[in-house]
Amino acid sequence: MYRIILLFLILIWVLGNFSDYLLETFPFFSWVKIISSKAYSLVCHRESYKLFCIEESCTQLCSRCTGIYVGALLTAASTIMWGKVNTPDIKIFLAAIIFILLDIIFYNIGLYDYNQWIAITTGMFSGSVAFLYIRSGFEKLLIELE
Amino acid sequence: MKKYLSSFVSGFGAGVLQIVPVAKSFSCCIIIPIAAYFAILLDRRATGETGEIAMKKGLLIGLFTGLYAALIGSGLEIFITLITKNNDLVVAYPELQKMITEFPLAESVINQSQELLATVVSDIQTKGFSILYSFAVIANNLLVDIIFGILGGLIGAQVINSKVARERSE
Repeated sequence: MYRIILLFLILIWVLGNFSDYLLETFPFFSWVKIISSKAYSLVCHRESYKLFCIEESCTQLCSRCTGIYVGALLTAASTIMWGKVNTPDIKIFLAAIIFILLDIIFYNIGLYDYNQWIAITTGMFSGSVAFLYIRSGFEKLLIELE
Repeated sequence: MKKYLSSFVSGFGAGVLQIVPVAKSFSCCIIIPIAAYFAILLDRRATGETGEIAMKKGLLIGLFTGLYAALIGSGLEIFITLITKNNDLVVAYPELQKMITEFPLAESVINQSQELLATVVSDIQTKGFSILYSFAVIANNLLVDIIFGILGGLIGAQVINSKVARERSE
Protein backbone atom coordinates (compact mmCIF):
# COMPACT_ATOMS: atom_id res chain seq x y z
CA MET A 1 0.00 0.00 0.00
CA TYR A 2 2.74 2.46 0.97
CA ARG A 3 4.50 1.72 -2.34
CA ILE A 4 1.38 2.83 -4.21
CA ILE A 5 1.16 5.97 -2.04
CA LEU A 6 4.83 6.74 -2.80
CA LEU A 7 4.22 6.18 -6.53
CA PHE A 8 1.15 8.41 -6.44
CA LEU A 9 2.99 11.24 -4.66
CA ILE A 10 5.89 11.13 -7.11
CA LEU A 11 3.44 10.97 -10.04
CA ILE A 12 1.67 14.15 -8.86
CA TRP A 13 5.05 15.87 -8.47
CA VAL A 14 6.21 14.80 -11.94
CA LEU A 15 2.88 15.78 -13.60
CA GLY A 16 3.15 19.23 -11.99
CA ASN A 17 6.66 19.51 -13.41
CA PHE A 18 5.28 18.89 -16.91
CA SER A 19 2.24 21.17 -16.42
CA ASP A 20 3.44 23.46 -19.23
CA TYR A 21 3.26 20.54 -21.68
CA LEU A 22 -0.10 19.35 -20.37
CA LEU A 23 -2.05 22.61 -20.10
CA GLU A 24 -2.85 22.73 -23.82
CA THR A 25 -4.68 19.42 -23.58
CA PHE A 26 -5.85 19.80 -19.99
CA PRO A 27 -6.58 23.48 -19.08
CA PHE A 28 -6.68 22.42 -15.41
CA PHE A 29 -2.89 22.35 -15.46
CA SER A 30 -2.73 26.15 -15.76
CA TRP A 31 -3.87 26.21 -12.11
CA VAL A 32 -1.45 23.46 -11.20
CA LYS A 33 1.31 25.54 -12.76
CA ILE A 34 0.46 28.60 -10.66
CA ILE A 35 0.20 26.67 -7.39
CA SER A 36 3.21 24.44 -7.97
CA SER A 37 5.49 27.17 -9.31
CA LYS A 38 6.52 28.26 -5.79
CA ALA A 39 6.86 24.68 -4.57
CA TYR A 40 9.28 23.82 -7.38
CA SER A 41 11.36 26.95 -6.78
CA LEU A 42 11.96 25.68 -3.24
CA VAL A 43 13.80 22.60 -4.47
CA CYS A 44 15.43 23.81 -7.70
CA HIS A 45 17.27 26.91 -8.98
CA ARG A 46 15.12 26.77 -12.19
CA GLU A 47 17.64 28.64 -14.31
CA SER A 48 15.92 29.20 -17.65
CA TYR A 49 18.66 27.72 -19.84
CA LYS A 50 18.68 24.53 -17.76
CA LEU A 51 14.96 23.83 -18.07
CA PHE A 52 13.98 20.98 -20.36
CA CYS A 53 12.13 22.66 -23.24
CA ILE A 54 10.41 21.33 -26.33
CA GLU A 55 9.25 24.13 -28.63
CA GLU A 56 7.79 26.71 -26.21
CA SER A 57 6.87 24.35 -23.39
CA CYS A 58 9.35 23.92 -20.56
CA THR A 59 9.50 21.84 -17.42
CA GLN A 60 9.17 23.64 -14.10
CA LEU A 61 12.34 21.99 -12.76
CA CYS A 62 15.80 21.97 -14.33
CA SER A 63 16.81 19.02 -16.53
CA ARG A 64 18.72 17.27 -13.75
CA CYS A 65 15.91 17.56 -11.21
CA THR A 66 13.45 16.42 -13.90
CA GLY A 67 15.68 13.39 -14.47
CA ILE A 68 15.87 12.66 -10.73
CA TYR A 69 12.08 12.65 -10.25
CA VAL A 70 11.32 10.83 -13.53
CA GLY A 71 13.93 8.22 -12.56
CA ALA A 72 12.30 7.86 -9.13
CA LEU A 73 8.85 7.56 -10.76
CA LEU A 74 9.94 4.88 -13.23
CA THR A 75 11.70 2.93 -10.47
CA ALA A 76 8.67 3.26 -8.18
CA ALA A 77 6.43 1.86 -10.95
CA SER A 78 8.93 -0.91 -11.76
CA THR A 79 9.22 -2.05 -8.15
CA ILE A 80 5.43 -2.33 -7.91
CA MET A 81 5.29 -4.42 -11.09
CA TRP A 82 8.29 -6.64 -10.31
CA GLY A 83 7.74 -6.97 -6.59
CA LYS A 84 10.88 -7.32 -4.50
CA VAL A 85 13.84 -5.30 -5.76
CA ASN A 86 17.02 -5.27 -3.70
CA THR A 87 18.69 -2.03 -2.68
CA PRO A 88 21.76 -1.56 -4.90
CA ASP A 89 25.28 -1.72 -3.57
CA ILE A 90 26.60 1.44 -1.92
CA LYS A 91 29.20 1.76 -4.72
CA ILE A 92 26.41 2.24 -7.25
CA PHE A 93 24.90 4.96 -5.08
CA LEU A 94 28.27 6.71 -4.83
CA ALA A 95 28.80 6.31 -8.60
CA ALA A 96 25.43 8.01 -9.24
CA ILE A 97 26.50 11.01 -7.13
CA ILE A 98 29.98 11.11 -8.70
CA PHE A 99 28.49 11.18 -12.25
CA ILE A 100 26.45 14.26 -11.33
CA LEU A 101 29.43 15.97 -9.69
CA LEU A 102 31.66 15.20 -12.70
CA ASP A 103 29.07 16.62 -15.10
CA ILE A 104 28.79 19.81 -13.00
CA ILE A 105 32.60 20.15 -12.84
CA PHE A 106 33.13 19.40 -16.56
CA TYR A 107 30.69 21.95 -17.93
CA ASN A 108 31.76 24.54 -15.36
CA ILE A 109 35.43 24.28 -16.38
CA GLY A 110 34.36 24.46 -20.04
CA LEU A 111 35.18 20.88 -21.07
CA TYR A 112 31.79 20.87 -22.79
CA ASP A 113 28.67 23.05 -22.83
CA TYR A 114 25.73 22.34 -20.52
CA ASN A 115 23.90 19.38 -22.05
CA GLN A 116 20.29 18.70 -21.05
CA TRP A 117 20.47 15.04 -22.02
CA ILE A 118 23.56 14.40 -19.87
CA ALA A 119 21.86 16.23 -16.99
CA ILE A 120 18.65 14.20 -17.41
CA THR A 121 20.50 10.87 -17.74
CA THR A 122 22.72 11.41 -14.70
CA GLY A 123 19.67 12.69 -12.80
CA MET A 124 17.59 9.65 -13.74
CA PHE A 125 20.32 7.27 -12.63
CA SER A 126 20.75 8.93 -9.25
CA GLY A 127 16.98 9.38 -8.82
CA SER A 128 16.41 5.65 -9.39
CA VAL A 129 19.12 4.59 -6.95
CA ALA A 130 18.13 7.19 -4.34
CA PHE A 131 14.49 6.06 -4.58
CA LEU A 132 15.49 2.45 -3.86
CA TYR A 133 17.43 3.61 -0.79
CA ILE A 134 14.58 5.82 0.43
CA ARG A 135 12.01 3.06 -0.12
CA SER A 136 14.23 0.55 1.66
CA GLY A 137 14.69 3.06 4.50
CA PHE A 138 10.92 3.42 4.90
CA GLU A 139 10.46 -0.36 4.79
CA LYS A 140 13.06 -0.89 7.53
CA LEU A 141 11.53 1.95 9.53
CA LEU A 142 8.08 0.36 9.32
CA ILE A 143 9.51 -2.98 10.48
CA GLU A 144 11.24 -1.23 13.42
CA LEU A 145 8.02 0.54 14.38
CA GLU A 146 6.06 -2.72 14.30
CA MET B 1 19.23 19.61 22.89
CA LYS B 2 22.27 17.61 24.02
CA LYS B 3 20.79 14.49 22.50
CA TYR B 4 20.75 16.16 19.09
CA LEU B 5 23.95 18.19 19.44
CA SER B 6 25.38 16.52 16.33
CA SER B 7 22.28 17.63 14.40
CA PHE B 8 22.79 21.17 15.67
CA VAL B 9 26.45 21.26 14.62
CA SER B 10 25.71 19.83 11.20
CA GLY B 11 22.51 21.84 10.77
CA PHE B 12 24.36 25.03 11.66
CA GLY B 13 26.87 24.42 8.86
CA ALA B 14 24.07 23.63 6.40
CA GLY B 15 22.13 26.70 7.53
CA VAL B 16 25.12 28.95 6.88
CA LEU B 17 25.66 27.38 3.44
CA GLN B 18 21.99 28.07 2.63
CA ILE B 19 22.72 31.78 2.35
CA VAL B 20 25.94 31.48 0.33
CA PRO B 21 25.01 32.62 -3.23
CA VAL B 22 26.14 29.63 -5.35
CA ALA B 23 25.87 26.96 -2.65
CA LYS B 24 22.25 27.83 -1.83
CA SER B 25 21.13 26.48 -5.22
CA PHE B 26 22.13 23.01 -4.00
CA SER B 27 21.02 23.47 -0.39
CA CYS B 28 17.89 21.33 -0.36
CA CYS B 29 18.88 18.38 -2.48
CA ILE B 30 22.59 18.06 -1.71
CA ILE B 31 23.65 20.08 1.34
CA ILE B 32 20.83 19.10 3.73
CA PRO B 33 21.00 15.31 3.06
CA ILE B 34 24.82 15.41 3.35
CA ALA B 35 24.47 17.41 6.60
CA ALA B 36 22.10 14.73 7.92
CA TYR B 37 24.66 12.04 7.04
CA PHE B 38 27.45 13.95 8.81
CA ALA B 39 25.19 14.45 11.83
CA ILE B 40 24.78 10.65 12.10
CA LEU B 41 28.55 10.19 11.80
CA LEU B 42 29.15 12.84 14.50
CA ASP B 43 26.59 11.23 16.76
CA ARG B 44 28.26 7.83 16.39
CA ARG B 45 31.66 9.33 17.16
CA ALA B 46 30.30 11.13 20.22
CA THR B 47 28.47 8.08 21.59
CA GLY B 48 31.10 5.55 20.51
CA GLU B 49 28.54 3.37 18.72
CA THR B 50 29.99 0.95 16.20
CA GLY B 51 27.02 -1.28 15.40
CA GLU B 52 24.20 -0.81 12.93
CA ILE B 53 22.08 2.30 13.30
CA ALA B 54 18.30 2.09 13.61
CA MET B 55 16.28 3.78 10.86
CA LYS B 56 14.24 5.57 13.51
CA LYS B 57 17.40 7.18 14.87
CA GLY B 58 18.59 8.11 11.38
CA LEU B 59 15.19 9.66 10.67
CA LEU B 60 15.19 11.69 13.90
CA ILE B 61 18.75 12.94 13.43
CA GLY B 62 17.88 13.91 9.84
CA LEU B 63 14.69 15.64 10.98
CA PHE B 64 16.52 17.69 13.62
CA THR B 65 19.36 18.53 11.21
CA GLY B 66 16.79 19.87 8.74
CA LEU B 67 15.00 21.75 11.52
CA TYR B 68 18.17 23.44 12.79
CA ALA B 69 19.37 24.20 9.24
CA ALA B 70 16.00 25.81 8.43
CA LEU B 71 15.95 27.93 11.58
CA ILE B 72 19.57 29.04 11.27
CA GLY B 73 19.35 29.61 7.49
CA SER B 74 16.11 31.60 7.87
CA GLY B 75 17.51 33.61 10.79
CA LEU B 76 20.62 34.54 8.84
CA GLU B 77 18.62 35.43 5.73
CA ILE B 78 16.28 37.68 7.73
CA PHE B 79 19.27 39.26 9.53
CA ILE B 80 21.13 39.97 6.27
CA THR B 81 17.94 41.46 4.76
CA LEU B 82 17.66 43.67 7.86
CA ILE B 83 21.20 44.99 7.39
CA THR B 84 21.33 45.31 3.61
CA LYS B 85 17.64 46.21 3.04
CA ASN B 86 17.90 44.08 -0.08
CA ASN B 87 17.34 40.43 -1.03
CA ASP B 88 16.38 38.09 -3.89
CA LEU B 89 12.74 39.19 -3.71
CA VAL B 90 13.62 42.87 -4.19
CA VAL B 91 15.90 41.98 -7.12
CA ALA B 92 13.23 39.81 -8.77
CA TYR B 93 10.39 42.26 -8.05
CA PRO B 94 9.99 43.74 -11.59
CA GLU B 95 9.92 40.23 -13.07
CA LEU B 96 7.45 39.03 -10.42
CA GLN B 97 5.11 41.94 -11.17
CA LYS B 98 5.10 40.99 -14.84
CA MET B 99 4.57 37.30 -14.01
CA ILE B 100 1.54 38.01 -11.80
CA THR B 101 -0.23 39.88 -14.63
CA GLU B 102 0.20 36.81 -16.85
CA PHE B 103 -1.66 34.51 -14.43
CA PRO B 104 -5.18 33.51 -15.54
CA LEU B 105 -6.79 35.14 -12.49
CA ALA B 106 -9.51 37.75 -11.89
CA GLU B 107 -8.25 41.33 -12.17
CA SER B 108 -9.14 42.08 -8.55
CA VAL B 109 -7.03 39.13 -7.36
CA ILE B 110 -4.12 40.25 -9.54
CA ASN B 111 -4.35 43.79 -8.16
CA GLN B 112 -4.47 42.54 -4.57
CA SER B 113 -1.46 40.29 -5.18
CA GLN B 114 0.50 43.16 -6.67
CA GLU B 115 -0.39 45.46 -3.77
CA LEU B 116 0.70 42.81 -1.28
CA LEU B 117 3.97 42.24 -3.11
CA ALA B 118 4.59 45.99 -3.34
CA THR B 119 4.01 46.35 0.44
CA VAL B 120 6.49 43.54 1.19
CA VAL B 121 9.15 45.01 -1.13
CA SER B 122 8.56 48.52 0.27
CA ASP B 123 8.90 47.24 3.87
CA ILE B 124 12.16 45.51 3.02
CA GLN B 125 13.60 48.53 1.23
CA THR B 126 12.66 50.99 3.99
CA LYS B 127 12.79 48.99 7.24
CA GLY B 128 14.72 45.90 6.13
CA PHE B 129 12.02 43.71 7.63
CA SER B 130 8.66 42.32 6.53
CA ILE B 131 6.61 39.97 8.70
CA LEU B 132 5.06 38.29 5.66
CA TYR B 133 8.43 37.77 3.98
CA SER B 134 9.99 36.44 7.20
CA PHE B 135 7.08 34.04 7.72
CA ALA B 136 7.36 32.82 4.11
CA VAL B 137 11.12 32.25 4.43
CA ILE B 138 10.77 30.31 7.71
CA ALA B 139 7.80 28.23 6.46
CA ASN B 140 9.49 27.38 3.13
CA ASN B 141 12.81 26.46 4.72
CA LEU B 142 11.16 24.37 7.44
CA LEU B 143 9.11 22.39 4.92
CA VAL B 144 11.90 21.67 2.46
CA ASP B 145 14.79 21.21 4.91
CA ILE B 146 12.87 18.85 7.18
CA ILE B 147 11.74 16.65 4.24
CA PHE B 148 15.24 16.47 2.74
CA GLY B 149 16.77 16.07 6.22
CA ILE B 150 14.58 13.01 6.83
CA LEU B 151 15.46 11.55 3.43
CA GLY B 152 19.15 12.24 4.07
CA GLY B 153 18.88 10.60 7.50
CA LEU B 154 17.28 7.46 6.04
CA ILE B 155 19.81 7.17 3.22
CA GLY B 156 22.73 8.06 5.51
CA ALA B 157 21.75 5.39 8.04
CA GLN B 158 21.71 2.78 5.28
CA VAL B 159 25.09 3.93 3.93
CA ILE B 160 26.58 3.56 7.44
CA ASN B 161 24.88 0.18 7.98
CA SER B 162 26.25 -1.03 4.67
CA LYS B 163 29.79 -0.06 5.77
CA VAL B 164 29.29 -1.79 9.12
CA ALA B 165 28.06 -4.97 7.40
CA ARG B 166 31.06 -4.94 5.02
CA GLU B 167 33.53 -4.44 7.88
CA ARG B 168 31.96 -7.33 9.78
CA SER B 169 32.15 -9.66 6.79
CA GLU B 170 35.84 -8.79 6.30
